[in-house]
Amino acid sequence: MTADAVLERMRDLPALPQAVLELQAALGRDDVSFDRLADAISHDQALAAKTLRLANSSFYGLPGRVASIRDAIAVLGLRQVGMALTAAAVSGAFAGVQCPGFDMTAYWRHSVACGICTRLIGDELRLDGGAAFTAGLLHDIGRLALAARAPDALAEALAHRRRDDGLIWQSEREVLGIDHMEIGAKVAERWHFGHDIIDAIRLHHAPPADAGRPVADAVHVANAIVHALDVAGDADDMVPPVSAPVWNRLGLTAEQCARVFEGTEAALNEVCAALGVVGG
Amino acid sequence: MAELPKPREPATAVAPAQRTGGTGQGEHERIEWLFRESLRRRAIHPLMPLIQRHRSVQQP
Repeated sequence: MTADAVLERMRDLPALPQAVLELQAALGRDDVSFDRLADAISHDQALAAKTLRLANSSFYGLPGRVASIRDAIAVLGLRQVGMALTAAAVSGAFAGVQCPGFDMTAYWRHSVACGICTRLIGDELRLDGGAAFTAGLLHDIGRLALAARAPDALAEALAHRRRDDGLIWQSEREVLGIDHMEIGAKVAERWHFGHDIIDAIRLHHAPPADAGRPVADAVHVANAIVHALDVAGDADDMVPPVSAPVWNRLGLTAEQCARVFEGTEAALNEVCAALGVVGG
Repeated sequence: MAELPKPREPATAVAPAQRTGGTGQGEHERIEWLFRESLRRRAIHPLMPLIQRHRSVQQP
């Protein structure tokens, strides 16, 4: 299968729910009606329920205190609710996907862990944490899109990776002529995500040597950390290389790393359960 | 993007059992398995000693 054929199959990916699109648009405006936004989210009951479960998890620091979407916006703010809503919507959009050799449970545990870990790195380094969780959660969305729309092609790449015992993106390029970073960036562009998230998806295995993309840097390191923490449940997991310029640029101390490791492992099962993806 | 060198040889061993929360021999083997790409390339991965320390302070 060619890269063009793979991209062609991505054209009919599901759209994100209207509530998510409205909230994304609202994040860039000053004249936002919170009531209208809360109504739009609340109309999608499954999405609203999942968003509230996530908002009430200890990951957000206010367990049990958020009773409605209006409360969530008031207490957590629009950006945090946007993160929760996006996570809820994306996890719902790909329910039921099946692809030989692709472990959906491991995929979601890895993605959620990467979202948590990216946010914790952002907290440690005082980075703009607004997009950190979403960028980490969605960094591998290209793999999920492949599993949903080109399962035969992904299965072939996974088989190649097992034979070669190399890195998955190298096998994808070998077999498909394109990798999950490029596919994921295209999906994120279609879904109108911000540039920092699109950059993080496109660059998470190959961050540029120069500074200026702190979210992409954080996702690159967080991805390696969660592979190293071995939390996904993938027997054949492997830690990808880390860029020395990025590692040095972030400058995480051993103590900061220890807090990030502990925090990621502590929050993972609860956030997975809130999103309805998988438990521990 | 710079191409990484190919692994020197295919993996022949079965993946060690996933970690059990202990810090015994199996735990160390599992960490080495996870970092095998770097070890094959004889590259020092900055995370490996940090993960080893993290696991060593965890209670079984």
